[in-house]
Amino acid sequence: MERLAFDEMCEASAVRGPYADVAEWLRQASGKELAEKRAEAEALFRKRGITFAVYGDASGAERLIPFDVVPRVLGAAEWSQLRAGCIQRVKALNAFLDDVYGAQEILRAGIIPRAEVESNPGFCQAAKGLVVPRGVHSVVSGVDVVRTGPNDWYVLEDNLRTPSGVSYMLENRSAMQQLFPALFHRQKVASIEHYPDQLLAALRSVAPKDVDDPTVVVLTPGSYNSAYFEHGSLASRMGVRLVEGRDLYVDDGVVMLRDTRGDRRVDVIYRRIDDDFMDPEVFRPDSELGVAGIVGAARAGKVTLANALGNGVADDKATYVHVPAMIRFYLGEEPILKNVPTYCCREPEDLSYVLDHLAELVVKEVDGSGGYGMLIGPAATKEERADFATRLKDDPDGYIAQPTLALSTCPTLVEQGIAPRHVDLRPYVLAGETVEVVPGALTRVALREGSLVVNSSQGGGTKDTWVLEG
Amino acid sequence: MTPRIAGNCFWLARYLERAENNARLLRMAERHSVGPDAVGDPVGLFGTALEVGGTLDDYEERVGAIVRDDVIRFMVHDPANSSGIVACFHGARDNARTAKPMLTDFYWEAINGVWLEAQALDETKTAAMGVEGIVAWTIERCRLVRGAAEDLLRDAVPHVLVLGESVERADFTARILAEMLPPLLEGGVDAPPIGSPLSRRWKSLLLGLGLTETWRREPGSELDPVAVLSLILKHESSPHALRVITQKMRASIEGFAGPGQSESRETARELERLVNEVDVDSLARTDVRPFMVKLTATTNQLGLDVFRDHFA
Repeated sequence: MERLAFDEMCEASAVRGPYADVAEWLRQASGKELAEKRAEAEALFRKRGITFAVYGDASGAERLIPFDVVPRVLGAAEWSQLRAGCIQRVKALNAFLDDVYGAQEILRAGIIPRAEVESNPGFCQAAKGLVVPRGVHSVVSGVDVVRTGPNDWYVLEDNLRTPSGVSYMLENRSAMQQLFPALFHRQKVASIEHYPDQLLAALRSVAPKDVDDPTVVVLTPGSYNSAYFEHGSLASRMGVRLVEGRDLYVDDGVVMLRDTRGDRRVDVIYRRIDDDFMDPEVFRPDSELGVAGIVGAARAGKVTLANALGNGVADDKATYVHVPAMIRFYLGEEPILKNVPTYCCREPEDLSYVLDHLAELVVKEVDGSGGYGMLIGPAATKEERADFATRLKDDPDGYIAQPTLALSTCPTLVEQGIAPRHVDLRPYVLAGETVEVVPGALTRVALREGSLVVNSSQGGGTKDTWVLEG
Repeated sequence: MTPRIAGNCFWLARYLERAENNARLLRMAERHSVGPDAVGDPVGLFGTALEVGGTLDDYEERVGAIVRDDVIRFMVHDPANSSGIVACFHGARDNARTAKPMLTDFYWEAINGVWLEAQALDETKTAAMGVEGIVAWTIERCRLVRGAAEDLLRDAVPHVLVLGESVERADFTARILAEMLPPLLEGGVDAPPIGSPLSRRWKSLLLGLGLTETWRREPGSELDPVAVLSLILKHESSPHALRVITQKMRASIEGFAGPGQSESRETARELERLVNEVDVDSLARTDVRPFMVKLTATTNQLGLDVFRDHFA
């Protein structure tokens, strides 16, 4: 049974401050007008080719991520807290990564059990001794956040490997400005268009030392990857080359880019390829996506990989429970953003609790993503819970569980008109010389009534996210 | 740009040109089919269209007898015919998608928009449009995309696009000449009587090559075979004349690859020499086939050399 969720537009039948203008707009706009605009948005996205492919879809068809024309609005003060919390969190996670692949102080201090870290599938031996300029292992981080009340934000998970979705944040804004310019005349919506500039600055700031004018590239697995549009979009917006593994080679320890006018050195690689496929000499020997010898070049400090190898040890759900401790240990601060209370099934007591309370909990794979491989207890059938219980007993180390949160809702255009739908938020944190967050994020919305699954690969949509200035 | 992306741009342009060439072949066959020469000859020039497009064998194996409606369906819609018009737009768009960061948003949206329209075309719609309608639609869309190249950076990309277009155009020209010229020249080197079946066949050739208007502007334009052949091979300003095509190919290789030596440059120069040095008068009076074979072979070789030298 669904608990009453916090509605971000209306509280106790009154429109909340940040939504004043949007609420007035929704009152005046007819359902027909909004539906026409939604169709226009869809045509716009199709024309721009903002599509993705779903892994495992035999047809290979390109799909649009449904876009909702009703923006999510955050006030300046709300954003300020979120921003500070995300920056704090990423600083601590970067410090953890630098430590765990270096001096391992946090392990020596007993804050996190050594065995947990070193047996983590994301812990990468090849990352030990890697030259990581400024100690920034995660240049681009996506912090997934949910809300249960006006000031109650919880981090669901950290994404430090190859977080995606930022191009949708940018394209959604562009679409809204084109479809509803009058809305932007009424209120000051903070700009996000400088994200690519900040990204490029962050990438350049982590170039190998003694490189004055670094060459940055975006490394993609190729056009069949579901996020290919984003790879190309970011490369274009930054004015850098989009390359595949076969465009690069290592010569005398230096990464070179093939070019019709003469090959050239590459200094920073914004890589959107998983660790396992990066270098056939170190990881999967059958990988055709990576570059032979690239890890050697990174270890020698001749090229920077962003994000660095081995970040998976910091962004899986087992390590997640330790992030508040990391913040205290490395920064000497109290966490601004809360973790969701989490039961680690590898702990016998937690496993016992979880098995007894499956109907109330959300159970997730420790290294899962995309909303796959999870159980939403309250929405599951008795059989599904029984099946999951078997899986938990077979592999307790592989799962964590959390209480279901009553995720906040935002007004969303659905078939019946405007209705509340659950949302989450992914701000993108950029770390380089400084740590920055553009005033905006990707809001993902679960389009089905009552659903908590926001992932695009499972039918979720997105919204433009406005942060009001002043 | 990387050789890989250059290859995508090359094929993007080849597919667009191929779509337009196939559209012109369809127009040529259709106009012939509604003229007096086609009465009692339902195959008409539809077989020629398939032969020039290099798809006759595939058609006969999968479809069977050459029937107008089936040929139209095959040349426009058949997804297994990679040279079909819709398939060509798909190929162009697929390559553009990979090369997208090297293109402008406007160029990408132009080609993606055409692809979306092509995806929505079905046999009912093309039947309603008619052959002339589908031909006009195809050529307009190709020109729209080419026009969008106007504000591409004048670096390597435009040169590669021109090269791809030129290689495909040269290849097409060689094929159509190889197929249609020998039987035409069997009629002799005197201009055929105005309005005769032979004159209509010469006009079909010009239509297929996109040279009808160029021909009309030539002074004293009787359909003198030597004059027509001279126009096709040596006209100095028509973009569909082989002389201009070969010049563009050579210039575009130098444009994107810079100065230097390569087999593709050598083959491009060889092709240019072949066209510049041929004595059209002698060619028209002797067996034209050896020249056609050499032209076709050199054009094919150029495509292979370009890919190997620059895009592999």
